[in-house]
Amino acid sequence: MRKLSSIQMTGIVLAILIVAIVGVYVLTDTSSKDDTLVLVDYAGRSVTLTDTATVASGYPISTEVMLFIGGESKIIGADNNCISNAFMNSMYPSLAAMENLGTPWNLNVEQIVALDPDVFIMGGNSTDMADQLTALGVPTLCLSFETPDDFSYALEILGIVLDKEKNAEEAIDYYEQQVEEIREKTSDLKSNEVPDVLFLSFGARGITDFQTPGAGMLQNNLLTLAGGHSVSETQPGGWNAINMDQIAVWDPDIIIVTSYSSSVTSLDLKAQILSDSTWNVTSAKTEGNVYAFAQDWGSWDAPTPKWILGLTWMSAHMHPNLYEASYVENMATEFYGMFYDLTYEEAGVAGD
Amino acid sequence: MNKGAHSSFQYVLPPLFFIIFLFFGRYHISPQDLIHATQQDAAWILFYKVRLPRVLIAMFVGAALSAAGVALQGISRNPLVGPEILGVSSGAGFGAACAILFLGNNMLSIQLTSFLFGLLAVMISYSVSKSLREYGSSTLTLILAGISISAVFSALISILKYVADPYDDLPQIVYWLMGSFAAVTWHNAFNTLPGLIIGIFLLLLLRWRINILSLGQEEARALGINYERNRILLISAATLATAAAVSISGIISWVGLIVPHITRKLVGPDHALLMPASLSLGAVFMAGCDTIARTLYTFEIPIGIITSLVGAPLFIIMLKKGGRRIW
Repeated sequence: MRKLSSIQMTGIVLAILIVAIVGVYVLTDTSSKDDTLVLVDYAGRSVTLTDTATVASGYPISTEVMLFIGGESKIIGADNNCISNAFMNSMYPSLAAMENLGTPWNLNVEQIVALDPDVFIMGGNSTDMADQLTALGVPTLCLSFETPDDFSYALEILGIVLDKEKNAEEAIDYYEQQVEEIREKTSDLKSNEVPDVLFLSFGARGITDFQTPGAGMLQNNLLTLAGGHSVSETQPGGWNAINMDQIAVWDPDIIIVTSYSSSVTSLDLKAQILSDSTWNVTSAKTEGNVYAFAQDWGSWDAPTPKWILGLTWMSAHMHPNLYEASYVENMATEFYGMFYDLTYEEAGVAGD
Repeated sequence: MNKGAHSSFQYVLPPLFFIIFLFFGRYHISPQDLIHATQQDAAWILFYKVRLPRVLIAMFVGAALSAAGVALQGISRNPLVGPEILGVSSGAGFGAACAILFLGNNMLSIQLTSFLFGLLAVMISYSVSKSLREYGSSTLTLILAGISISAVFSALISILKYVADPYDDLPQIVYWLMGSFAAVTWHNAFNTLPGLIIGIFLLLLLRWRINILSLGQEEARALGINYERNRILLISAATLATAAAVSISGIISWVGLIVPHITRKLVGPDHALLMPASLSLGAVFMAGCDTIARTLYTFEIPIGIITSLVGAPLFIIMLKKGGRRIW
C-alpha cells in the first residue's frame, strides 16, 4: 500500500474532525426539535410543522378565516374564489400578489409543491390529497367550518399557524359570548314556539329549482341554535334539489331564501317567490313570512367568519319578540368595526 | 302483437299514463281533492301549475328523443346510434353552459343557445363527413365525424366547467348536464313546445322515407328517392327534436338509444309502425322515470340516473325475450 504523505494525512484528519464537529453539533442541536409543532387537524391527522413562515390555502373558507384573524402577511397562495372577489381585494390588497391556486376541486399538487409553503390548508374532507402533499414535503392541515365548535377549533389552529393566537382567541370569545346570549334568549321556548323553517338557496336552474341544506350543514345547525327547526335537516348531507310537492308537504311556517350567486340576490329571489302564486301552497307565503337572508360580500349563512351574524339574524327573524328591532344591525355594526374596520354601510349589507 | 292491437295501445297509453302520473307526487292529491279544490288550494296549484306542465314536457321530451333515435338508427342502419352520436346533445350542452356563464344565465338564453349549438354541432358533423367520403360509406363517415365533434364539444364543456365559478356557475352547469324536469313551468314549456312539436311532426311525416333510406344509397336511388336530400331532412328534424328537448331538460342520455330498440322488438322494423310506437313508448317511459325522480325521496333524483337504472335492465330483458332478429 502506498504511504500517505503528511499533507494527505493532515487533510484526512482535518476532514474527519470537521465531519465529527458538524455531526456532534447536529446531533446535539435540539433547537429544531423544540421548534417542531405537532397539530391535530379536523380529520384527526397529526401534522408536524417545522416552520410556519409561509402559509397557503386551497379552500375559500380557510383563506377568509386566515385573513379575518390578520394572517395576511404570511399567506403566499390562496384559492381563486377569494383572489377574484373584488370586495375582498379592496379589504386585503395583498390578495392580488398571492399565487392563485384555483378552486378546491381543481387543485394542482405540483403547483402547490412548487410554491413550497411551510403549511398548506385544505377543506375537512380532502385527506387523500392532504396526505399526498404532506408526503411530498408540504405539511397539510384539513379544517372544517360546518359547526360552531369546528369553526372555533379551526380558528385556534389557524391562530397558532399564523402566530395570531390573540386575534383567534378574541374571535372565539366573541362567538361564544354571542351564542350564549342567543341560547339564553331561546332556552325557554316551548315546542309550539319553535317554527318549521325552510331554508332555500338559489337552485342550479333558477328559482323553480331549489336547493335545501341536508344533514350536518351549517345552515341547519344555525337554525336549531337560533330556536327553529329546519324541515330539511334529515335529508342527505350537502345541498339537495327539492320540488314544490315536497315543499307543500312540509308546509313551513317560515321560508328563508339566500343566494350565493353574484348575479341574483336574496332580495331578487324573495321578490320572485312573492310574485309567483305557486308559492301560495305554503303558510309561510300566505302569512307573510318569507325573508331574504342578509348578505354583504357573501351570504351570512355561509361558514365564514360572519356565521355569527347569520345565527343572530335567523333568531331575530324567527323570534322578533325576543329582540329589539335594531338588534341585528347594532350587532353587525359592532362586528364589522371590531374585525374588519368597516361601517355597516361600507359592508354593503342587503336583505331583510 | 298484431297491428290493430299495438295501434290502439300506442294511442291509448300516453293519455292514460299522463293522467295516472299527474296523481303521483310527494303531496297527496286525489281526484276528489281536485274536484272540490278552489284555485287557492294547494291541490289545485300543484296539479295545474306544477305537475301538469312537468308531465306534459317529460312526455314530449321522451317522444322527441325516441323519435330522433328511430330516425338516426334507421338512416344510419346502425343500432348503436342515438341523438348523442351526431353531437347534438354535447353541442346543446355546450350552448347551455355558455349561456350560464356568459349570457346572464336566464332560461330563455339557455334554451336558445343550447338549440343553436345543437344544430351547429350537427352541421359541423355533416360537413366533416362530406369531406371524408373517400374514406368510407357516407353513413360510416357521418357517425365517425359525429363521434369526433361530440368529443370536441364535450371537451369544450369541460373547459367551461374548469373556469366556471364553483359557487355560482359550476353547480348549474353540472346540474344541466345531468338532466332534470324540475325547472319546467308553463312559461318555459310554451317556449319549448313549438320546437318539440315541429321536430316530432316532421319525423312522423318522414317515417315512410326511413324504410327506403335504410335500404342504402343505391337502392334508394333505384327507387327514385333523392337519398341525400331526404337524409338531410331527417337529420335536421331529428336535430330539431333533440335540441329542443335538451334545451328544456338538459342532457338525458340512454332514452334515444334504448326506446327505439325496445319498440323494434315489439312492433318490428317497419318505420311506419316503429316511429309512432316509439313516440308513445318514449313519452310514457320518460314521464314514468320523472315520476320516480320527483316522488321517491324528499329530494329530486337526477333523471339520468333513473332512465339508466330502469332502462338498462328493461333493455336487457327485452333483448333476451325477443326471439326474432331485426337488425
